Amino acid sequence: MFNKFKELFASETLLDKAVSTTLKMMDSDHKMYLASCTTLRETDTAELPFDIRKMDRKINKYLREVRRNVLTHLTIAGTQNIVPGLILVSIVIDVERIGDYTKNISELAIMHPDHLKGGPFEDDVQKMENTIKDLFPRVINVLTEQDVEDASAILDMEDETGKTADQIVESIISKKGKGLKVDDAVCLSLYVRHLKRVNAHLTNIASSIVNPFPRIGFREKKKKNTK
Amino acid sequence: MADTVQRGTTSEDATISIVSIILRIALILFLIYIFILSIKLMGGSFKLFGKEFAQAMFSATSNPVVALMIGVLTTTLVQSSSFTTSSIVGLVASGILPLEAAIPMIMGANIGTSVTNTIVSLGSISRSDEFKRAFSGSILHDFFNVSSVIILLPLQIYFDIIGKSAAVLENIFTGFGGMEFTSPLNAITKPVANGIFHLTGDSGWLSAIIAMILLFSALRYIVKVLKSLVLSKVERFFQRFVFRTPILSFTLGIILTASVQSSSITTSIIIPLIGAGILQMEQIYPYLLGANIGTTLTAFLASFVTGSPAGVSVAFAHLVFNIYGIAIFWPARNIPIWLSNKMAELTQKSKLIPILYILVVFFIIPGAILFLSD
Repeated sequence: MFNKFKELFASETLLDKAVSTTLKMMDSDHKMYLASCTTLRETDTAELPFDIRKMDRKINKYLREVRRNVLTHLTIAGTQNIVPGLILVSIVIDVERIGDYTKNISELAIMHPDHLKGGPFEDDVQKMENTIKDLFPRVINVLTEQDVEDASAILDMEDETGKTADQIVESIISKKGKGLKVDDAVCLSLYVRHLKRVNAHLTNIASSIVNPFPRIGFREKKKKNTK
Repeated sequence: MADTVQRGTTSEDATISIVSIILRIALILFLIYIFILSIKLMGGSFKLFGKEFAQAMFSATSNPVVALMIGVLTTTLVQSSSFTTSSIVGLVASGILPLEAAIPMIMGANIGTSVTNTIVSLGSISRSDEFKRAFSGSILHDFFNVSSVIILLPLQIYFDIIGKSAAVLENIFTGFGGMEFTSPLNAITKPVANGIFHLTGDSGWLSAIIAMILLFSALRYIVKVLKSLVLSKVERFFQRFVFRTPILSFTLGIILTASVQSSSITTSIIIPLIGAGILQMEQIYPYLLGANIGTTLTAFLASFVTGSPAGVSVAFAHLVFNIYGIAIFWPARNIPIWLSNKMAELTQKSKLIPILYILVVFFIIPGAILFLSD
């Protein structure tokens, strides 16, 4: 109770608090991603290093807290911060979805206790995993430091992860993925699909730093070279 | 998100912020001076009206129900109970209005002030469920005030319970030398007030009109500046845990309303939060009651300016009425909450109901009673 009272007299606004909560959610997403991918791909056990479902529930709770704080801030402090408030409410959904997808990956790890092999797609899958692994800290840093330059760089990157995921799924369906067992094929299809979604949501979050509010979550069309 | 996080402020930002705060505080001090001046001017103007006006005023307000409706209608029209109560203090202090007639008017001001948050709730009328919650929250204040009047007005008429209690408190206040505090306030406004009387050729009506305009403007801008100064600093107090504890919620209502000098503001800002389901009826109820206590501060400020024990009695009457109301309807909170919920359910049948409710309660009934009372 004392801490709650102390918190009341803190100088930061509820909008600042909502930003801190969003960053906390991103940290949790990152931890959940690393844990679920490692368990699925590198261990022959269904045991996760921590309770991912519990962490996902916490993320959902944080999402509601962010919405409450933004609404309360806008109601009391007026419309001065309406744009950052709406942006925050918008991107926090992406952050929560990442939690959902990493939880789905952890469910695959439970259903598929043996480590998942990529077979003929192993290199592509590893590339996807590494891209996302690198993207997490970059997006967190972009949000924390309001790094417009790096946010633009993230948006300028070709969506290789999405394209690779689609190609792998297409290859499995058209039976090009010979050498994969049925359980591995099903699991791999779902896994790359989840990776594609995590990557897309991370890009959406980065877009909030550079894009105007109506265009959050969209890549800006590249201008044609008029030479 | 680009301008969401503002990490670290430069020393230039800090300087601008300090200068802005100092300017706003200076503006508030100036506005308080205008408020004090307007009360001083009002008291002097009423004295210039003469005995005939006093008799007419006495006769017009001799019926407590009529006096109550004058309070409701005046406050509804100016959207400020502070304006009504300050004017009543001025009238009583100058001997134009007897305390017995002032008390029902003060009760009416309490009812009239709750129209603002009911109007605010209409903002969500197109979203059915949200509106039901917002409307029930807004009329909870109305139902508390009306229920208090239903119980306390007859007790006041037959036993003078509020008048007697206020007189006792005023005696204690005077006994402690409270009236001595009022003389400096008197001194700082006297020269300017005398100048205005001189300029208007000692016309009571002209001075009264100037006083009313000054009072209305001062209150309006005091609230505006205080709101900008206070609300942004206290938004963290609107976190749910404060509202989970009735005493904290009640205390927040008192302090915040006393700080911004307007219960309309403090009760209206929570309406969107009720509509969104962030706060519940039971949680905001003590806060609304606290706002009723906090708003009595304005009458005290006005009464100190008059330097009249009768004026101070009016301020205490305002406070005592609200304390008695709280003593009855805090334990019996289920009654106003139930009534508000039932009324809000009716709004699901037709969108016209809330609009009719506002028109009937705040305009048609008081207007009709005043019209019929001739």
